[in-house]
Amino acid sequence: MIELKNIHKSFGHNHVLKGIDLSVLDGEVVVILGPSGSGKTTLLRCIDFLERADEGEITVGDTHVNIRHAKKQQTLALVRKTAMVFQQYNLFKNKTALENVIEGLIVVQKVEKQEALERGRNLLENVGLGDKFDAYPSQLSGGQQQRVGIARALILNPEVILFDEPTSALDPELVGDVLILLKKIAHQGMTMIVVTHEIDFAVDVATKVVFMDAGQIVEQGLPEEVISHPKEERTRQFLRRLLPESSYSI
Amino acid sequence: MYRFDYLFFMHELWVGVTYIPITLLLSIVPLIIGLIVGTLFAICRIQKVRVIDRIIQVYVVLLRSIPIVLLMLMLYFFFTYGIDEIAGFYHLPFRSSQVSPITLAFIILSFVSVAFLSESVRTALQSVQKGQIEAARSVGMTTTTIYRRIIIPQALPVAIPILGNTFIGLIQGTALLYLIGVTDLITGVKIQANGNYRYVEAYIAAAIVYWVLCIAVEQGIRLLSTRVNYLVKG
Amino acid sequence: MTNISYFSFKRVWEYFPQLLSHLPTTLVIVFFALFFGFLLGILIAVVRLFKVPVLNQLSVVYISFVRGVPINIQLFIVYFGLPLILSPLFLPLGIDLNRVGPIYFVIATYAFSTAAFISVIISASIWGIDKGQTEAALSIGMTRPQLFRRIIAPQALHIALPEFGNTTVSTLKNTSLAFTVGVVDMVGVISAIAARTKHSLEGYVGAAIIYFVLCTLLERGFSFVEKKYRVFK
Repeated sequence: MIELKNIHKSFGHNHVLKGIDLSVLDGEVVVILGPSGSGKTTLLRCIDFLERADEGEITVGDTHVNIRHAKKQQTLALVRKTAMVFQQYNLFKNKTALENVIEGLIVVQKVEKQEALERGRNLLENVGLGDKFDAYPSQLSGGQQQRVGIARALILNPEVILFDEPTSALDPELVGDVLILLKKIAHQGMTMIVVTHEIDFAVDVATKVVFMDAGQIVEQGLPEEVISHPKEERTRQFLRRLLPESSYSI
Repeated sequence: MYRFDYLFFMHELWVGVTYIPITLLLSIVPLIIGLIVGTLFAICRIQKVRVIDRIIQVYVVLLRSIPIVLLMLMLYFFFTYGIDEIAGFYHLPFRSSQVSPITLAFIILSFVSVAFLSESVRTALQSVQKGQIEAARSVGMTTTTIYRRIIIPQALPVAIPILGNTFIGLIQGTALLYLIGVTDLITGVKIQANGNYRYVEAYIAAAIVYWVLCIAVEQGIRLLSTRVNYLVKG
Repeated sequence: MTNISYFSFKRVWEYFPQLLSHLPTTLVIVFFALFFGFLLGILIAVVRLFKVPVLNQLSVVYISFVRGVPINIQLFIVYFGLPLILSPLFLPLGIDLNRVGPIYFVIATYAFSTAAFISVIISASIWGIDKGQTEAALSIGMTRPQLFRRIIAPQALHIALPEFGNTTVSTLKNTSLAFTVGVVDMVGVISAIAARTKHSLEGYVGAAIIYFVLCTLLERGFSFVEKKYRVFK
């Protein structure tokens, strides 16, 4: 399970995260909603130590880190229990699809090359890229790149996968495929924290929806609570803007 | 331990400064000639004018892969011997010694600058997207109008930094002109040092003058770049 | 104009063997200048990438100097200046720098100059890599050294290769100035030939042809290597 306690982060004078508390149980799919600039992405990046939060505590599985006193070894251990899927895919440009997927296995988890290759091929086939093993990122469409990105995270078998707006950079007709894949992963019991604007996905798949605004969690709960019957005015405003066709019902 | 003669160094700096006008003249004239002829060459190549297009290509490749000092010496001997030979053959009353080295320097540097600038101008002109030209044609503009109103304004921001590099290259090229007898900055500082053998002071002074000149040109180009960007893109 | 006497291809042809016999000198200069230039260039690049205080500022001035000052003046400064500065260090070893051949100073100059350009190429290539590449590598748990070796270095090399080619070619072209401090290379030997035959133009034409061929070969070589490397974009 993942536990965040009192996470603060500032960029200069800009206080982006103002004390975030969040717990995620194993197998949960948490969708974080919120207007841009609300701190959703920063929160994800702080969990994966791409940004270092200013204070707070992060627990992933049996690794507990107090950010103030965290040593390099500790943060590395924590980073290795998480994986991230990026908005811009960020596939390694000098590596093929297959090499991208097995890179972490070989370099970080020190798995035998033969075994890594086999697992990589299987996984790529599972995400529908059985014919793209040797393609470089520049030869793949956005949707294909993102599926490689997801496979690269999945293969590490992390405690949690963090998705940072995984479909925002995709052409509309390619979004569906990636969402189906996310749903499939969720049903396999992977713990996921997903920042997205896809309300349908939140309604369908999320076990918990978190609404963030101005660096704070405004409200959280089951999708039918937060999306269909939001308690807070700020949440209602946000959802009205996202779903102009009146209120959403499940 | 060597004692650096600061007084002589300051003197040499001043001597160097007095040669700035001639150095600039020697690089600006070829720059302008290069720009005019180079643009013509570039257009010939883009429009794929038969034969001429090939000749220009060979010319550019040759001049770009032969060291500038060899070009200089070759052209120098070619012109001086050539003038003498022609004059002798037709019994004309002049000799190469009557042509000033500076005139030769202008001609030689222009040859080089044309080669470099035709490539720069071509790159800049071709940086304008095809769609822009097609759109212009679709509203009925003629080729000349397209060049004047669409291609050149859009190519200018790309061209200016490359032009700046060529300008700096030409300024540095003038430091070789002493080899063909031009009294340039190097000759100037060297004459002063011939008496006391303080060549180190002399050449450091020359280096600093060139250095400052190049930095000034770089800054100028940067300023011009932002101005042109502002004018073109608003 | 049928009997041009000031230029004959026959003489160019006759000069060729004499010029070519001095080609090794040119190649030696290029090789050592590039070798030491790369070593020093990598060091300077490290200084720039890690923003080492003081040294970083010095490297900025150094690079600006090398870019702003004509290479032949740099050559003169090293040729006349280096013995003055270093003589006290070398004299106890029994080496009189004033008697050392000019070729060493030529190599030193071109190594210094090449190093500046190499350092700029390296740091620019590394800075040019998309930040997302670093983030992705860190997110799968790579350490910094692993990130550099497996992701950054290969991608930077890909960006830098054509620029290395340009630098190599311009170092080669610059060797044509070595004669100005008295090195008897391909260009330096021409004046000796001319003193005998009274015809130097053909010598310069011959040298130009040799340089042209060498530059073209180098360029071809580099673009061949680039193509092999251009599997990814």
